[in-house]
Amino acid sequence: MLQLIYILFYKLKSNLKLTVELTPQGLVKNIGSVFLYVLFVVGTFYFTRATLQYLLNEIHLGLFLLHRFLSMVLFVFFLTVNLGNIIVSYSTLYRSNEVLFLFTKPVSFANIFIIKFFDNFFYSSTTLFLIGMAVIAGYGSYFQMPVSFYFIVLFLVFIPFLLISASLAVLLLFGLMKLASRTGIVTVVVGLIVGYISSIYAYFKIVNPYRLIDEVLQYYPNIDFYFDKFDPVFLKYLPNHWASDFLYWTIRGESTNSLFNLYLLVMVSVITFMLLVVVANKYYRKSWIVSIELKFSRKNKIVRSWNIFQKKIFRNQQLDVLYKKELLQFTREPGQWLHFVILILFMAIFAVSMTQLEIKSAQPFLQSVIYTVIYLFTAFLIASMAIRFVYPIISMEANNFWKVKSAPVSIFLIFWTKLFFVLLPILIIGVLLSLFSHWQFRHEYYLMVVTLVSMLCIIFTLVSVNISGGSFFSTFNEKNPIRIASTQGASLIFLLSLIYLVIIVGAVYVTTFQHFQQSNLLAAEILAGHTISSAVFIGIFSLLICATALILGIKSLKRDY
Amino acid sequence: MIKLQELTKIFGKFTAVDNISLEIPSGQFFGFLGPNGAGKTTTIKMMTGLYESTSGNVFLNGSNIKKNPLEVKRQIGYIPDQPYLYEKLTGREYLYFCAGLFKMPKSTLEGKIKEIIKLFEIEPWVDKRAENYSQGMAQRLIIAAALLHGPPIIIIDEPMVGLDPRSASIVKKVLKEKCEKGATVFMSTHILQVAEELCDRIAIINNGRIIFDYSHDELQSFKHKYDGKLENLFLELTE
Repeated sequence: MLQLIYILFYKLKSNLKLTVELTPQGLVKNIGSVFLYVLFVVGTFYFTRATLQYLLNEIHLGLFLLHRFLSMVLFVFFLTVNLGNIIVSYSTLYRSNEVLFLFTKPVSFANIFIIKFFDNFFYSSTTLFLIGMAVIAGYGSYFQMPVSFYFIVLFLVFIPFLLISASLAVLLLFGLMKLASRTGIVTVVVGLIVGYISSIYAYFKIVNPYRLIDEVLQYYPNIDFYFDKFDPVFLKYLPNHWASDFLYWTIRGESTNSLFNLYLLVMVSVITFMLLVVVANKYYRKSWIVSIELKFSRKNKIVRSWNIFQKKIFRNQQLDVLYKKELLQFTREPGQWLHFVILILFMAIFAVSMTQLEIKSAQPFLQSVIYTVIYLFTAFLIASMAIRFVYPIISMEANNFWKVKSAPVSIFLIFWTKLFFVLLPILIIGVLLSLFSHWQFRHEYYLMVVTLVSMLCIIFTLVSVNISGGSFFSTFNEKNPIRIASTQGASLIFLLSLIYLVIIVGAVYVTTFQHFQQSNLLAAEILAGHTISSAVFIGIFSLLICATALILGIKSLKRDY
Repeated sequence: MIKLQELTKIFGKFTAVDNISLEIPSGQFFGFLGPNGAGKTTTIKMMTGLYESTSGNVFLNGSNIKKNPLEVKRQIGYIPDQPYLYEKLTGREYLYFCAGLFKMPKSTLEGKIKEIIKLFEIEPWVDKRAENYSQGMAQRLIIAAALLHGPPIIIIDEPMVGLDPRSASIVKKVLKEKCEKGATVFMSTHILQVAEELCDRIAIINNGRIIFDYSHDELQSFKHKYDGKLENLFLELTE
């Protein structure tokens, strides 16, 4: 135990030292981070309050349905954290040089595992904790809860909830490693993707939100009661249900029921974590050897069949080889293409579900809100893709960048090749996504123009901001893209992207609102005028950000390597 | 020809390279020695365009790297101290990649790659991904790639790191031959024996300044004062 504390103390010390570097980049990173985090936390706080106000006072959803929807959101959140932890844990537990170092020292496997587990848990969850705290603060403040509520929710609900998800993820990872040693990595990966998608589909199929609303609203106005008779039985065994039920009973002031859910969450998180440590003590070392064997069985083979470099794609020879190098690095790194495929699948599910949504009969206000929410979610998906795949692309050059930088290749070509490499797929995916997610509005000509124009602007801007941010904050010390995308610089760029999106979504909402409110009253020319002015604002604003980001990005790439 | 003119590099308050000037004629094998942190790698990084000098200039065959970086880089074959490769590429793909960066004509490319693979004896593993290479294998591939476009100036930072005796012998032989054919070799090393064996001229840098710069013959006469050992001379100078 003492050894564990000793190592954790030095890790903390080294991390604290890294965060207060006095370089221009370090200062921008630290001051900017504090400013943006505060802005983001305050924004999330008010957004949570406004959402609760709208759901409870405007559309009279009732406490029971509110907490059931919260439970659904928490379920998706639980799976996202779970999947994220499997991917990140694989690199921290099996690919880290620190593990190699510690294996040669008299440190127990359980201690090494705990160090890496918490390293992973806190490293990748800083932004998550902040968002979580802001949401809890907004929720508590809306219901005017006492100070103790915030601490209880943070330490006894939120952290145990995340801990259960992360612990299960690593237990699952151990199982997957064992399975991979028998069936091969591809079968395991495909199984994992199918498993997650099936879980989400099955959950929503069984829970059936539409049915639940119909059943509960039959009791209107007495819709704050606990209608557990409408809950499927399996729901009672899920941590998201315990968390949302704790909140429901706390708001209702029934401490016995709320304490029961709290007890469940804390106990299950402790048991899951202890089980994880016991399993890790026996299996971590073995699974580490499995990962080495898998690596060699998969990679230590001769690849002579076809050399992509022998056939030209682009006339410019340097562009040709730089582009092919990016392509090979992406397609030969399972962590990259696998994450990409999962994101595409999630996007496809989202887009397909949106085509089936019918809101024609809804009120104009509700129509404009739904339209904007779909738009915001689409833009958010693109922002997530940009931070995960665009931001790390320059830092991923890592120690290998010397070859290109010492070769007679202009910095512009290096930068534009990387930009072009990531822009093209994101552009195609983004346009298809926005078309399908807004499919029900396809006859609303003016809206579709604003949607497509602004979405193109968003894609260009987010890609430019992320690649330039990645260039500005490049360290070349880390080559793992997932870890690069979780650094302080990346969080800062992600928050900047979100602020940009809020401004653009604001402009889109104004047009959408006018459209749905007044489309029957205004002449086509006036509606067209609104559309054009909105599109021009979005275009000019995006162009300014794009240009600033690109100039900064190229300039940063010229720095000493 | 390599010319360093009052070259200085300052990082914050620390002067890594302090106003050094050197002139190395074509065909000379130049050895650049110095203790750890003396400024060897910083000097090399300024010569290859990886660092921009705080003041002073680097001229390679008459061209200034600040003014014509691409033209200068075209003439360099650079081998760094750590053999970092794109791990997902095979050795052969890496050679094609480097050839493309230097815009080598396609007509002669295949033949040159075959030739260099044979010369450095890397055929058995050139089609495996670089992530499986040992340090020595990676180092041999990097040296092969650096010489592929036939550069008139070869800049090497610690060439023998990780090489087995046979590979080291191949590298020494190839570098000596290149030099005899007119290429200029600028080699930084810690291995005094290698410097003595290969170099026509040796300079020692300490605390960012050149403290010793003599030809091979002059070096021999200096050595006599230190029991005939370059090691003793080096230790005394860099104390």
